[in-house]
Amino acid sequence: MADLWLERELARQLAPVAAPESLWDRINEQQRIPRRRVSFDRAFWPVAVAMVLLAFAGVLRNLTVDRDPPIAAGSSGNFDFRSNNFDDIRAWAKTEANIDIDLPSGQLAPDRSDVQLLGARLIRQRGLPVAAIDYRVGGEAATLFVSGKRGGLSGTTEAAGHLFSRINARLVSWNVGNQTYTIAFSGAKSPHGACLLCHT
Amino acid sequence: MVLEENGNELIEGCQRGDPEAFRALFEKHKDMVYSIALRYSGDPAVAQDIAQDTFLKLFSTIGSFRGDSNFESWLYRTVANSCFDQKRRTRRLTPLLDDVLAALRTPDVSVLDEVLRAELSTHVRSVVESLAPDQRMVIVLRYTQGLSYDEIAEILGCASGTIASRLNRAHKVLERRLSRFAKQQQRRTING
Repeated sequence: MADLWLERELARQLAPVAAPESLWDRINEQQRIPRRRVSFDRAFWPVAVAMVLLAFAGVLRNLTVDRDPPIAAGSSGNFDFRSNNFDDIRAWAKTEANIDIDLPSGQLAPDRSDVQLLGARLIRQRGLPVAAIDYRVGGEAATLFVSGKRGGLSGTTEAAGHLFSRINARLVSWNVGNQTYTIAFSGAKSPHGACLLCHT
Repeated sequence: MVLEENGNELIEGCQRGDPEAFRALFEKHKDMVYSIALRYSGDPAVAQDIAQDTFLKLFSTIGSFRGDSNFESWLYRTVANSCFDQKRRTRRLTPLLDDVLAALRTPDVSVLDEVLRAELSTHVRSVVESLAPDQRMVIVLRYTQGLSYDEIAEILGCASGTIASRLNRAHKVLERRLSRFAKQQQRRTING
Protein backbone atom coordinates (compact mmCIF):
# COMPACT_ATOMS: atom_id res chain seq x y z
CA MET A 1 0.00 0.00 0.00
CA ALA A 2 1.39 3.38 -0.98
CA ASP A 3 1.82 5.94 1.73
CA LEU A 4 -0.76 8.62 2.17
CA TRP A 5 1.42 11.42 0.89
CA LEU A 6 2.01 9.64 -2.40
CA GLU A 7 -1.65 8.74 -2.90
CA ARG A 8 -2.71 12.29 -2.19
CA GLU A 9 -0.13 13.74 -4.55
CA LEU A 10 -1.03 11.32 -7.32
CA ALA A 11 -4.70 12.16 -6.98
CA ARG A 12 -3.87 15.86 -7.05
CA GLN A 13 -1.35 15.81 -9.88
CA LEU A 14 -3.29 13.42 -12.08
CA ALA A 15 -6.70 14.99 -11.53
CA PRO A 16 -9.07 15.07 -14.52
CA VAL A 17 -8.97 18.12 -16.77
CA ALA A 18 -11.35 19.65 -19.28
CA ALA A 19 -10.83 18.79 -22.93
CA PRO A 20 -9.89 21.73 -25.15
CA GLU A 21 -12.72 23.34 -27.13
CA SER A 22 -10.90 22.66 -30.39
CA LEU A 23 -11.10 18.89 -29.96
CA TRP A 24 -14.50 18.48 -31.58
CA ASP A 25 -13.43 20.51 -34.62
CA ARG A 26 -10.43 18.24 -35.06
CA ILE A 27 -12.57 15.14 -34.84
CA ASN A 28 -15.30 16.57 -37.01
CA GLU A 29 -12.83 17.29 -39.77
CA GLN A 30 -11.60 13.72 -39.72
CA GLN A 31 -14.63 11.69 -38.95
CA ARG A 32 -16.71 9.79 -41.37
CA ILE A 33 -19.94 9.17 -39.57
CA PRO A 34 -20.92 5.60 -40.35
CA ARG A 35 -24.26 5.32 -42.12
CA ARG A 36 -26.85 2.82 -41.09
CA ARG A 37 -26.46 -0.59 -42.68
CA VAL A 38 -23.26 0.39 -44.45
CA SER A 39 -20.56 -1.68 -42.84
CA PHE A 40 -17.16 -2.15 -44.38
CA ASP A 41 -14.80 -4.64 -42.90
CA ARG A 42 -11.30 -3.28 -42.43
CA ALA A 43 -10.01 -5.80 -44.90
CA PHE A 44 -12.30 -4.31 -47.52
CA TRP A 45 -10.44 -1.05 -47.83
CA PRO A 46 -7.15 -2.19 -49.38
CA VAL A 47 -9.13 -4.02 -52.04
CA ALA A 48 -11.52 -1.10 -52.49
CA VAL A 49 -8.62 1.27 -53.04
CA ALA A 50 -7.13 -1.09 -55.58
CA MET A 51 -10.52 -1.42 -57.25
CA VAL A 52 -10.98 2.34 -57.45
CA LEU A 53 -7.55 2.74 -59.02
CA LEU A 54 -8.38 0.03 -61.48
CA ALA A 55 -11.73 1.64 -62.09
CA PHE A 56 -10.12 4.96 -62.91
CA ALA A 57 -7.94 3.20 -65.41
CA GLY A 58 -11.05 1.56 -66.82
CA VAL A 59 -12.87 4.86 -67.10
CA LEU A 60 -9.99 6.47 -68.91
CA ARG A 61 -9.68 3.55 -71.23
CA ASN A 62 -13.39 3.44 -71.89
CA LEU A 63 -13.62 7.15 -72.47
CA THR A 64 -11.03 6.68 -75.18
CA VAL A 65 -12.95 3.74 -76.54
CA ASP A 66 -16.04 5.93 -76.47
CA ARG A 67 -14.87 7.80 -79.53
CA ASP A 68 -15.05 4.62 -81.60
CA PRO A 69 -18.03 2.47 -82.43
CA PRO A 70 -18.55 -0.44 -79.99
CA ILE A 71 -17.28 -3.07 -82.38
CA ALA A 72 -14.09 -1.13 -82.91
CA ALA A 73 -13.53 -1.20 -79.15
CA GLY A 74 -14.00 -4.92 -79.11
CA SER A 75 -11.65 -5.41 -81.97
CA SER A 76 -8.93 -3.23 -80.50
CA GLY A 77 -7.16 -6.33 -79.23
CA ASN A 78 -7.39 -5.42 -75.54
CA PHE A 79 -9.76 -8.22 -74.65
CA ASP A 80 -8.51 -11.53 -73.36
CA PHE A 81 -11.91 -12.93 -74.19
CA ARG A 82 -14.33 -11.34 -76.59
CA SER A 83 -18.00 -12.19 -76.26
CA ASN A 84 -21.39 -10.56 -75.94
CA ASN A 85 -22.73 -13.51 -73.96
CA PHE A 86 -22.75 -13.16 -70.19
CA ASP A 87 -22.73 -16.89 -69.49
CA ASP A 88 -19.72 -17.37 -71.72
CA ILE A 89 -17.84 -14.54 -70.01
CA ARG A 90 -18.72 -15.91 -66.61
CA ALA A 91 -17.55 -19.38 -67.55
CA TRP A 92 -14.33 -17.95 -68.97
CA ALA A 93 -13.57 -16.00 -65.76
CA LYS A 94 -14.22 -19.14 -63.73
CA THR A 95 -11.97 -21.27 -65.89
CA GLU A 96 -9.14 -18.77 -66.26
CA ALA A 97 -8.93 -17.33 -62.77
CA ASN A 98 -11.51 -19.17 -60.65
CA ILE A 99 -13.48 -15.94 -60.35
CA ASP A 100 -17.20 -16.30 -59.70
CA ILE A 101 -19.34 -13.52 -61.13
CA ASP A 102 -22.61 -13.42 -59.27
CA LEU A 103 -25.23 -10.93 -60.31
CA PRO A 104 -28.33 -10.54 -58.14
CA SER A 105 -30.60 -12.67 -60.30
CA GLY A 106 -27.83 -14.87 -61.55
CA GLN A 107 -28.25 -13.32 -64.98
CA LEU A 108 -28.12 -9.90 -66.54
CA ALA A 109 -31.11 -7.73 -65.78
CA PRO A 110 -34.17 -8.89 -67.70
CA ASP A 111 -34.43 -5.65 -69.67
CA ARG A 112 -30.98 -5.81 -71.17
CA SER A 113 -31.65 -4.40 -74.58
CA ASP A 114 -29.60 -1.33 -73.61
CA VAL A 115 -26.72 -3.41 -72.28
CA GLN A 116 -24.17 -4.62 -74.77
CA LEU A 117 -21.37 -6.83 -73.52
CA LEU A 118 -18.07 -6.43 -75.36
CA GLY A 119 -15.57 -8.75 -73.72
CA ALA A 120 -13.36 -9.31 -70.71
CA ARG A 121 -9.80 -9.01 -69.52
CA LEU A 122 -7.86 -10.48 -66.64
CA ILE A 123 -5.81 -8.18 -64.46
CA ARG A 124 -3.66 -8.96 -61.47
CA GLN A 125 -3.57 -6.45 -58.68
CA ARG A 126 -1.07 -7.27 -55.91
CA GLY A 127 -1.43 -10.91 -56.67
CA LEU A 128 -5.21 -10.81 -56.65
CA PRO A 129 -6.86 -11.77 -59.97
CA VAL A 130 -9.47 -9.31 -61.18
CA ALA A 131 -11.84 -9.82 -64.12
CA ALA A 132 -12.65 -6.63 -66.05
CA ILE A 133 -15.79 -6.93 -68.15
CA ASP A 134 -16.39 -4.14 -70.64
CA TYR A 135 -19.91 -3.27 -71.70
CA ARG A 136 -21.88 -0.39 -73.09
CA VAL A 137 -25.13 1.05 -71.79
CA GLY A 138 -27.10 3.51 -73.88
CA GLY A 139 -24.02 4.15 -75.98
CA GLU A 140 -21.76 4.85 -73.00
CA ALA A 141 -18.83 2.73 -71.87
CA ALA A 142 -18.66 0.90 -68.56
CA THR A 143 -16.44 -1.71 -66.95
CA LEU A 144 -17.33 -4.15 -64.22
CA PHE A 145 -14.37 -5.30 -62.11
CA VAL A 146 -14.78 -8.49 -60.11
CA SER A 147 -12.04 -9.51 -57.71
CA GLY A 148 -11.07 -13.03 -56.87
CA LYS A 149 -11.98 -14.39 -53.47
CA ARG A 150 -10.24 -12.77 -50.55
CA GLY A 151 -10.48 -13.68 -46.88
CA GLY A 152 -12.00 -11.25 -44.43
CA LEU A 153 -14.47 -9.59 -46.77
CA SER A 154 -18.17 -9.56 -46.20
CA GLY A 155 -21.12 -7.75 -47.68
CA THR A 156 -24.44 -8.05 -49.34
CA THR A 157 -26.02 -7.09 -52.62
CA GLU A 158 -28.37 -4.67 -50.89
CA ALA A 159 -28.30 -1.13 -52.23
CA ALA A 160 -27.34 0.12 -48.76
CA GLY A 161 -24.13 -1.89 -49.06
CA HIS A 162 -23.02 -0.09 -52.21
CA LEU A 163 -20.37 2.58 -52.03
CA PHE A 164 -20.87 5.35 -54.59
CA SER A 165 -18.13 7.74 -55.56
CA ARG A 166 -18.52 11.45 -54.95
CA ILE A 167 -16.20 12.47 -57.71
CA ASN A 168 -16.75 13.12 -61.37
CA ALA A 169 -15.89 9.61 -62.44
CA ARG A 170 -18.88 7.41 -61.67
CA LEU A 171 -17.87 4.50 -59.53
CA VAL A 172 -19.87 2.11 -57.49
CA SER A 173 -18.41 -0.68 -55.39
CA TRP A 174 -19.87 -3.42 -53.22
CA ASN A 175 -18.98 -6.74 -51.70
CA VAL A 176 -20.64 -10.05 -52.29
CA GLY A 177 -19.41 -12.69 -49.90
CA ASN A 178 -15.65 -12.41 -50.07
CA GLN A 179 -15.39 -10.68 -53.43
CA THR A 180 -15.39 -7.00 -54.35
CA TYR A 181 -17.32 -5.71 -57.34
CA THR A 182 -16.68 -2.27 -58.83
CA ILE A 183 -18.30 -0.58 -61.81
CA ALA A 184 -16.62 2.33 -63.56
CA PHE A 185 -18.90 4.24 -65.89
CA SER A 186 -18.37 7.25 -68.12
CA GLY A 187 -22.00 8.13 -67.36
CA ALA A 188 -22.24 11.51 -69.04
CA LYS A 189 -25.84 10.99 -70.15
CA SER A 190 -27.24 8.71 -67.51
CA PRO A 191 -25.51 8.64 -64.10
CA HIS A 192 -27.00 5.31 -63.08
CA GLY A 193 -26.95 3.67 -66.48
CA ALA A 194 -24.24 1.23 -65.42
CA CYS A 195 -26.60 -0.17 -62.80
CA LEU A 196 -28.72 -1.57 -65.64
CA LEU A 197 -26.27 -4.44 -65.84
CA CYS A 198 -27.82 -5.90 -62.72
CA HIS A 199 -30.95 -3.89 -62.03
CA THR A 200 -34.01 -3.02 -64.08
CA MET B 1 -18.54 2.36 -8.71
CA VAL B 2 -17.50 4.97 -11.21
CA LEU B 3 -18.52 3.21 -14.36
CA GLU B 4 -22.04 4.25 -15.28
CA GLU B 5 -24.92 2.52 -16.94
CA ASN B 6 -25.04 2.62 -20.72
CA GLY B 7 -26.54 5.70 -22.34
CA ASN B 8 -28.57 3.47 -24.58
CA GLU B 9 -30.45 6.21 -26.40
CA LEU B 10 -27.28 8.03 -27.37
CA ILE B 11 -25.64 4.84 -28.51
CA GLU B 12 -28.65 3.83 -30.55
CA GLY B 13 -28.72 7.31 -32.10
CA CYS B 14 -25.08 6.91 -33.12
CA GLN B 15 -25.82 3.49 -34.54
CA ARG B 16 -28.54 5.10 -36.66
CA GLY B 17 -25.96 7.64 -37.90
CA ASP B 18 -27.53 10.62 -36.12
CA PRO B 19 -24.94 13.46 -36.07
CA GLU B 20 -26.53 15.01 -32.96
CA ALA B 21 -26.06 11.76 -31.09
CA PHE B 22 -22.37 11.66 -32.06
CA ARG B 23 -21.92 15.19 -30.75
CA ALA B 24 -23.79 14.43 -27.54
CA LEU B 25 -21.76 11.28 -26.96
CA PHE B 26 -18.58 13.27 -27.51
CA GLU B 27 -19.66 15.98 -25.06
CA LYS B 28 -20.50 13.38 -22.45
CA HIS B 29 -17.16 11.62 -22.57
CA LYS B 30 -14.63 14.13 -23.93
CA ASP B 31 -13.18 15.18 -20.57
CA MET B 32 -12.69 11.62 -19.43
CA VAL B 33 -11.01 10.60 -22.69
CA TYR B 34 -8.79 13.69 -22.81
CA SER B 35 -7.84 13.42 -19.13
CA ILE B 36 -6.65 9.85 -19.49
CA ALA B 37 -4.78 10.73 -22.66
CA LEU B 38 -3.11 13.76 -21.04
CA ARG B 39 -2.18 12.05 -17.80
CA TYR B 40 -0.83 9.06 -19.69
CA SER B 41 1.17 11.00 -22.28
CA GLY B 42 1.99 14.13 -20.29
CA ASP B 43 1.76 16.22 -23.43
CA PRO B 44 -1.35 18.21 -24.45
CA ALA B 45 -0.61 17.85 -28.17
CA VAL B 46 -0.18 14.09 -27.90
CA ALA B 47 -3.27 13.91 -25.70
CA GLN B 48 -5.34 15.61 -28.40
CA ASP B 49 -4.04 13.12 -30.94
CA ILE B 50 -4.97 10.24 -28.67
CA ALA B 51 -8.41 11.68 -27.93
CA GLN B 52 -9.05 12.27 -31.62
CA ASP B 53 -7.97 8.75 -32.45
CA THR B 54 -10.18 7.36 -29.70
CA PHE B 55 -13.32 9.15 -30.88
CA LEU B 56 -12.71 8.30 -34.52
CA LYS B 57 -12.36 4.64 -33.58
CA LEU B 58 -15.45 4.91 -31.43
CA PHE B 59 -17.57 6.49 -34.15
CA SER B 60 -16.45 4.04 -36.79
CA THR B 61 -17.06 0.94 -34.68
CA ILE B 62 -20.06 1.90 -32.60
CA GLY B 63 -22.29 0.07 -35.08
CA SER B 64 -20.82 -3.18 -33.79
CA PHE B 65 -21.29 -2.30 -30.12
CA ARG B 66 -23.72 -4.67 -28.45
CA GLY B 67 -25.96 -3.39 -25.69
CA ASP B 68 -25.25 -6.34 -23.45
CA SER B 69 -21.75 -5.07 -22.65
CA ASN B 70 -20.79 -1.99 -20.68
CA PHE B 71 -20.26 0.97 -22.96
CA GLU B 72 -17.97 2.85 -20.63
CA SER B 73 -15.71 -0.15 -20.19
CA TRP B 74 -15.59 -0.38 -23.95
CA LEU B 75 -14.71 3.31 -24.22
CA TYR B 76 -12.05 3.04 -21.52
CA ARG B 77 -10.56 0.10 -23.38
CA THR B 78 -10.51 2.10 -26.61
CA VAL B 79 -8.75 5.06 -25.06
CA ALA B 80 -6.28 2.79 -23.29
CA ASN B 81 -5.43 1.09 -26.57
CA SER B 82 -5.04 4.46 -28.28
CA CYS B 83 -2.63 5.46 -25.53
CA PHE B 84 -0.61 2.27 -25.96
CA ASP B 85 -0.53 2.81 -29.73
CA GLN B 86 0.71 6.37 -29.49
CA LYS B 87 4.39 6.74 -30.11
CA ARG B 88 6.11 8.54 -27.36
CA ARG B 89 7.16 12.03 -28.37
CA THR B 90 10.15 13.96 -27.22
CA ARG B 91 10.10 14.36 -23.50
CA ARG B 92 9.51 17.81 -22.16
CA LEU B 93 12.33 19.49 -20.35
CA THR B 94 11.90 19.41 -16.61
CA PRO B 95 13.10 22.52 -14.78
CA LEU B 96 15.34 21.66 -11.87
CA LEU B 97 14.49 22.87 -8.44
CA ASP B 98 17.98 24.24 -7.76
CA ASP B 99 17.92 26.32 -10.93
CA VAL B 100 14.60 27.83 -10.06
CA LEU B 101 15.66 28.59 -6.50
CA ALA B 102 18.90 30.13 -7.64
CA ALA B 103 16.93 32.53 -9.75
CA LEU B 104 15.20 33.88 -6.69
CA ARG B 105 17.39 36.57 -5.14
CA THR B 106 15.20 37.03 -2.06
CA PRO B 107 13.06 33.98 -1.58
CA ASP B 108 9.70 35.06 -0.31
CA VAL B 109 7.88 32.27 1.51
CA SER B 110 4.82 32.37 -0.70
CA VAL B 111 6.93 32.45 -3.82
CA LEU B 112 9.00 29.56 -2.52
CA ASP B 113 5.86 27.59 -1.77
CA GLU B 114 4.65 28.21 -5.26
CA VAL B 115 7.93 27.19 -6.81
CA LEU B 116 8.10 24.03 -4.72
CA ARG B 117 4.55 23.19 -5.61
CA ALA B 118 5.23 23.65 -9.34
CA GLU B 119 8.39 21.63 -9.08
CA LEU B 120 6.61 18.84 -7.25
CA SER B 121 3.91 18.74 -9.91
CA THR B 122 6.47 18.54 -12.65
CA HIS B 123 8.38 15.76 -10.91
CA VAL B 124 5.36 13.66 -10.01
CA ARG B 125 4.05 13.79 -13.56
CA SER B 126 7.50 13.23 -14.98
CA VAL B 127 8.02 10.12 -12.85
CA VAL B 128 4.56 8.81 -13.79
CA GLU B 129 5.42 9.31 -17.45
CA SER B 130 8.61 7.31 -16.96
CA LEU B 131 6.73 4.23 -15.78
CA ALA B 132 6.28 1.25 -18.06
CA PRO B 133 3.11 1.62 -20.18
CA ASP B 134 1.13 -1.06 -18.33
CA GLN B 135 1.99 0.39 -14.91
CA ARG B 136 1.36 3.94 -16.09
CA MET B 137 -2.09 3.09 -17.42
CA VAL B 138 -3.04 1.45 -14.14
CA ILE B 139 -1.89 4.54 -12.23
CA VAL B 140 -3.84 6.86 -14.55
CA LEU B 141 -7.05 4.82 -14.38
CA ARG B 142 -6.71 4.58 -10.61
CA TYR B 143 -5.91 8.20 -9.81
CA THR B 144 -7.38 10.16 -12.71
CA GLN B 145 -10.62 8.23 -12.91
CA GLY B 146 -10.74 6.70 -9.44
CA LEU B 147 -11.51 3.23 -10.76
CA SER B 148 -11.41 0.14 -8.59
CA TYR B 149 -9.07 -2.78 -9.18
CA ASP B 150 -11.92 -4.81 -10.62
CA GLU B 151 -12.93 -2.06 -13.02
CA ILE B 152 -9.35 -1.57 -14.21
CA ALA B 153 -9.01 -5.33 -14.59
CA GLU B 154 -12.12 -5.44 -16.78
CA ILE B 155 -10.87 -2.61 -18.97
CA LEU B 156 -7.39 -4.01 -19.45
CA GLY B 157 -8.57 -7.60 -19.73
CA CYS B 158 -6.58 -9.10 -16.88
CA ALA B 159 -7.08 -10.36 -13.35
CA SER B 160 -7.56 -8.04 -10.38
CA GLY B 161 -4.47 -9.58 -8.84
CA THR B 162 -2.43 -8.51 -11.83
CA ILE B 163 -3.71 -4.95 -11.44
CA ALA B 164 -2.82 -4.98 -7.73
CA SER B 165 0.64 -6.22 -8.58
CA ARG B 166 1.20 -3.56 -11.23
CA LEU B 167 -0.06 -0.86 -8.93
CA ASN B 168 2.21 -2.06 -6.14
CA ARG B 169 5.26 -2.04 -8.39
CA ALA B 170 4.37 1.41 -9.71
CA HIS B 171 3.94 2.75 -6.18
CA LYS B 172 7.36 1.45 -5.18
CA VAL B 173 8.98 3.14 -8.18
CA LEU B 174 7.17 6.38 -7.46
CA GLU B 175 8.05 6.30 -3.74
CA ARG B 176 11.70 5.75 -4.54
CA ARG B 177 11.93 8.48 -7.13
CA LEU B 178 9.86 10.99 -5.19
CA SER B 179 11.33 10.29 -1.75
CA ARG B 180 13.26 13.58 -1.75
CA PHE B 181 10.03 15.52 -2.24
CA ALA B 182 8.16 13.48 0.35
CA LYS B 183 10.83 14.19 2.97
CA GLN B 184 10.92 17.84 1.99
CA GLN B 185 7.17 18.03 2.33
CA GLN B 186 7.25 16.35 5.74
CA ARG B 187 9.91 18.78 6.99
CA ARG B 188 7.91 21.76 5.81
CA THR B 189 4.79 20.40 7.48
CA ILE B 190 6.64 19.95 10.79
CA ASN B 191 8.37 23.36 10.60
CA GLY B 192 5.24 25.14 9.41
